[in-house]
Amino acid sequence: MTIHHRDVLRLAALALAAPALLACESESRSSTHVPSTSDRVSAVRTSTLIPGPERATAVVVENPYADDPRAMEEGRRYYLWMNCHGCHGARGGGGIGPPFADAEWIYGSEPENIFQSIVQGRPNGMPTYEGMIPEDRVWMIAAYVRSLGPPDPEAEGPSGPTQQQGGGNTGSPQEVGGGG
Amino acid sequence: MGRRSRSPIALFLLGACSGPQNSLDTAGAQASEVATLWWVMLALSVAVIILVTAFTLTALLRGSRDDDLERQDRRSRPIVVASAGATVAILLVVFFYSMVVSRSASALQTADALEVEIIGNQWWWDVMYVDSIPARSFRTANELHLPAGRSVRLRLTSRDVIHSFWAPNIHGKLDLIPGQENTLYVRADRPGVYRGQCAEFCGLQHAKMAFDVVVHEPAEFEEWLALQRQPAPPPADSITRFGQQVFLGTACATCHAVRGTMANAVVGPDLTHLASRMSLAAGSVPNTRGHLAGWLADPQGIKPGNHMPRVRLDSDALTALLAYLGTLR
Repeated sequence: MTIHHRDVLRLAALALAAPALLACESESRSSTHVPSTSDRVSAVRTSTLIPGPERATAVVVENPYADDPRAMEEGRRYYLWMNCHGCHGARGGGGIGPPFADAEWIYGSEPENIFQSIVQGRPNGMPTYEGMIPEDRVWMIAAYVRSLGPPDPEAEGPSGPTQQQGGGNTGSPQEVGGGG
Repeated sequence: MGRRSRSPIALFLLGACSGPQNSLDTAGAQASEVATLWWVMLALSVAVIILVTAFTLTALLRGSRDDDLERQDRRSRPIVVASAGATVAILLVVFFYSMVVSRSASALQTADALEVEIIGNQWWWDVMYVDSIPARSFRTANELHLPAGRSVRLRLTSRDVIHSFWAPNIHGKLDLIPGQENTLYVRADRPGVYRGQCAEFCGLQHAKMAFDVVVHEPAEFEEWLALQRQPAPPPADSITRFGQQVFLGTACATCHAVRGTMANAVVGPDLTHLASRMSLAAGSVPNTRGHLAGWLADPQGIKPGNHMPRVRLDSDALTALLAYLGTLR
């Protein structure tokens, strides 16, 4: 098999031209217009405790911006601008409000639960943002907040759900100044 | 300005020397010095190009009548040395001249300088006129008003990424860097309306991050200051009253401030005197009722990717909101 100089040159020209051609295409952006979802979200129940016989009440609303990194980035901006970090921490570590690193979320960690919690507010300090943040931005915040949560428990690996802390190591680990 | 008889080339050449965003159409002492430096460098470069071209052409056309290469080398040595010396001399002259210009352009510090803080945001300019009395300080956006003949201290910083302040008719560029304050002293001398723009790529809408620069006569500037310090007037009729309710009751007030009302958020531009401004969305569109309506109905259409969301309003609410925003002079 012989390689001609001309082939090499041609390949080099192609390799140079490819990124140049790609650069001509403008980045496409997902539209920020999402159809209104508030009616469907309002049918979502926070509690599974229902009087009487069990009924099929599970309403699942998909976050239109789930796994959209640009929307999550916008959600992060709004998370800071709307002062979510004031209570939940800059990275969702909690503080006055509950952390998002918890495995169990009081009012649910499904996208529709997060949407509802932001829009309706929750007891003991979580204000309602109804009418204060347009719906598409609430979904973006929800996408970002979900990304702060614990990794999927089904995903095995070192970053899976951590073991409960505590146990034998609760006391002070070592006395300081004991000498020796 | 342009007469039809003029050839397009002449128009282009003329257009290059005037205009609201042009470092050669100077409105201040510093820009004048920079422009002079530019012309001097242009003249020198043109002279050098002509000389080099002439020498090259002569050498090419005349050729050499001597076949002895060593003798040729010996004969051309003085010419080579002289050219190298001239090149170094010209470069040194330009180097020291540009140093002198940059030194005198930055020597405007005076005690009575007006203080303005400019904060870059993706993709708009937050402009704060700082007064020693806090109640006399105020914010505006995407518009820089300057008094003619007075030094102004611009304190430049950024809230997100690096931007660059550039009003070519007034002065050169200076970066706005998050977490750091850069100071630029400027002095505009010729009243007029100019245009500036972000000169450091800062993301998707970098191209639509412009601002207007208005240079006033000193007395007129004081009037402008006095007007901008005023809070917004309360709505006078039912439609503007409804418009204010729309503004305060929807997502508008979550991000924007109108002094004199409950709205005091600092996420987006201060809208207290929105109607007095020349353009909308950082120089994207002129500030007319139609453009404002288009902007409110679909901000992502005019400036895709910007951080203002579309707020769903019915037509009555939009009309009333437009009427209310129109009263914010």
